[in-house]
Amino acid sequence: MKFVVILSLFFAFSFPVLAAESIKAPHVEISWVAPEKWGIHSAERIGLQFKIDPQWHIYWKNSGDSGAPPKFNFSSDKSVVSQPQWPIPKRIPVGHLVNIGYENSVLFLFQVSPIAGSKVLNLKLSLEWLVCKEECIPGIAEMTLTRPLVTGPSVWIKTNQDKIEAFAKRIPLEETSSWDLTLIEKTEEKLVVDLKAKRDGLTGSEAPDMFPVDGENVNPQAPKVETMDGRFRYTFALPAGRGNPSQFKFLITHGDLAWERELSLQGGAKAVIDDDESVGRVSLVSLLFFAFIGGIILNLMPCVLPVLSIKFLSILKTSIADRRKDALLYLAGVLTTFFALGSVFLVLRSAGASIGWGYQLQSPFIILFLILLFWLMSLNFLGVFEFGESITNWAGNANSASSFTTGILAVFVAAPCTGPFMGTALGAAATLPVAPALGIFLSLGFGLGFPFVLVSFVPKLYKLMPKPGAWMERLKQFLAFPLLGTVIWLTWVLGIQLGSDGWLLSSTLLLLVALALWLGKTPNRVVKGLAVVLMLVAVTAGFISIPKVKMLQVNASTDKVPLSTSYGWVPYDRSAIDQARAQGRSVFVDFTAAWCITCQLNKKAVLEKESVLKMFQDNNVLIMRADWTNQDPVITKALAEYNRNSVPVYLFYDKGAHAQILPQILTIKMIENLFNKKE
Amino acid sequence: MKALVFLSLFVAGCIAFADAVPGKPAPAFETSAADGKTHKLSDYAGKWIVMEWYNKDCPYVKKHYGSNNMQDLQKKYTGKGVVWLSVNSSAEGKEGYTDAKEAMKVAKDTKSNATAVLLDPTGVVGKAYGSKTTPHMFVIDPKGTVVYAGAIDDNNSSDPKVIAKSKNYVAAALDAGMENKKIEITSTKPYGCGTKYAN
Repeated sequence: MKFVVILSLFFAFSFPVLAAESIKAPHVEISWVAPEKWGIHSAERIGLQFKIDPQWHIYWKNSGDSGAPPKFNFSSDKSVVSQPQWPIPKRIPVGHLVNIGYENSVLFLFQVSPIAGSKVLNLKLSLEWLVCKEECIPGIAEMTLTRPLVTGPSVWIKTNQDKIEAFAKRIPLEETSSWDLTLIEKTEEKLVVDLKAKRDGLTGSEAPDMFPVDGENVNPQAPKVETMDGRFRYTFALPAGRGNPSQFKFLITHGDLAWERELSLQGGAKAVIDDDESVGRVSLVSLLFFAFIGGIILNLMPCVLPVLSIKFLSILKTSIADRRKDALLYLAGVLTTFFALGSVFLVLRSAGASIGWGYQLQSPFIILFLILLFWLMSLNFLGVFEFGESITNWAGNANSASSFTTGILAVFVAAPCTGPFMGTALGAAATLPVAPALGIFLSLGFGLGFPFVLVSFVPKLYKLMPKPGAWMERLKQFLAFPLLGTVIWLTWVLGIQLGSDGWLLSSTLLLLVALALWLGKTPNRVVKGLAVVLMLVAVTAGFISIPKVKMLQVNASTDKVPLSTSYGWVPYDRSAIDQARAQGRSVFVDFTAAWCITCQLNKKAVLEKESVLKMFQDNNVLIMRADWTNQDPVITKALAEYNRNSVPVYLFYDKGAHAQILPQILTIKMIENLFNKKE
Repeated sequence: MKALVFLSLFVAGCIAFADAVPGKPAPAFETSAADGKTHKLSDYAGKWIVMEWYNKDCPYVKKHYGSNNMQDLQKKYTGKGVVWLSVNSSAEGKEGYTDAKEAMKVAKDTKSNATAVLLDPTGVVGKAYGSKTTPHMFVIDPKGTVVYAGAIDDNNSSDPKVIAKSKNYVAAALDAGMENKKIEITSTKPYGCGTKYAN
């Protein structure tokens, strides 16, 4: 009884079929594609064709998140049948899942040869398949193929032979001379591999696709693909908790061609910082060290120094215990902020966003916020306004909460001043796994916080500091001026991001804020209230109008200050580089951003000096400027090719030879050397 | 604004990592069931739990119910004190959706021995566990740690005939775990129909 129930239940969802040469089942039609007559000595490649209803699909040997591949079970004592050959599949998204399979029509191919002495070829196939749209219908069938064996060659119908050939092209090639597949990194969550063409002409700049053959150990979702110099990098997501397979197998497809490659995990795994031309292989320890030094140097940057000086003045007055507590809180603030920024950065990276360091500054909202912040700080330093819980307090005075916030502030104001030692480290952070990448961010933080902590903890150093006195007030006022300088610079950045209206917007906002502060100095409560209202309205209106101004700027993009075209510099264009190099010209690329101080210094001191421009001209160099002031995925990608994701980067393509990355602080001498070397 | 985008991406990233992963605590849930009661993970603290993703119309679920394989497993292990929760994450209008009344009827008709049939038409529980297919099986130990996640057995055929020859991962995990032995296979690729969440 039970058996009957099972049987009837089973047949309720699977289509009952008898042994046949072709089958019509729900949403699929299955038939053989084989010769009409079979040559007695011929090994033939035959196909089992699935014609699939529109929007339905069947599966590849790795079916992906759900589903199941068809199962072929041949029983025939008169012939030898190969394993199925699977043509190139495609990814089919189904709801939240990714399937790998086939739509419309597909042929699974088999190599079949009759055994000597037989008169008739008689194949029996137990076939099981699953066809799905969102819901799935499985099927089971017995299929037969009977063909007379004839002396001489097999007889084919032309259209059948064409069908076989069309799909035969799409099965993996046997040869192994096309691709090098190397393991870059494997973690719990991801697998990173590099694919490099072993010979020319395999692909253009277009990356081949890759499918995991083994669905147990690799997720079916399309990998993240990065194009690097002469190779492609694929990042696959791995399912959690599946242990450590000793090898992975992938299908590599390009157009109609396919290959299968295995990747052994023995002894291949390493963290890679691969920058053939310039940096060379840098160990993690030295990267951490560079980050640390870079952090220390940050203290001297014009945007950071005033904030820290004020903080320092305030702790001069306190007891040694308080001082130490403050210093540690400050360090905690710095590290927390770096950790937070680093985490956001890594999350975005894993989400596949093209971003780089300094990304915070690509938003006009943040620029306007910084302008306002620096403006308020400088007005406060100058004594234009003071109230109990003032900005000074926030940024400088000794109390625990403020020491922590000073740390946060220091990191935010430091970002535009990315120093020369940080480029390599931050670039590496973009390609390293999560833990070392966060390590680099934290090292930077340690560097930034270190001098402050050092002075607070070592009494000898502390004694070298001048005694508190009236000079502190004067110094504080003086420090307002570098801050005002920063305001000018950031206003300029905003002007580049938003056009001249951006400049008008920020200046008006600053004016209204200053007016409000001045109004607020009166004892009259009504006027004071008015001042508060004015302040709020001005700030709100300022931020609200950014998107509008931005839109205007997009509409009238011709008004944009042509930052890239001055002095013969042309905007970044990859194809122009290739073209120029094909013509035997050298190319110099300046990756820059308005908010990057180092970039601006190099530009003024070297790149736009007449003598340098003349050198470029004399040597027929194409000079190109990649402006990263605003978010630009093309430039982010170009930077990533050189394992960088911060600016400045100076790239020089020698005639014919490889690219060379110049140091982040340029001198005229370096540019001269580029050309003298060759002679 | 951009900061907001970053933040939301960050949060989204965290949620995406929240699948039930062997070795990690099982995601908490609270949802109504066919019996009309509300069931919480914490109701069963200190017990072995099996979570079985269920869709009455899925051929692979039918493979295991039509053959009585699932009911037998449920009976054997609930008899040993295991809590067996069938979870239906089919959204309303999708294959396999049932309201409480119909779910009770189906459970009765199929002679299900599950402790409860949880109704999750919003997919909240399914997505918290990262259920991809029906059946997709999770075994949770008395400490609330996921000790197995994946397929019910090692044969992804839809043919019930193969069950006798298949290695059942859930039974293996429970047998080993309940005797304080090491569970050899803790994670496999689930097979079956895609879980029918709302679009």
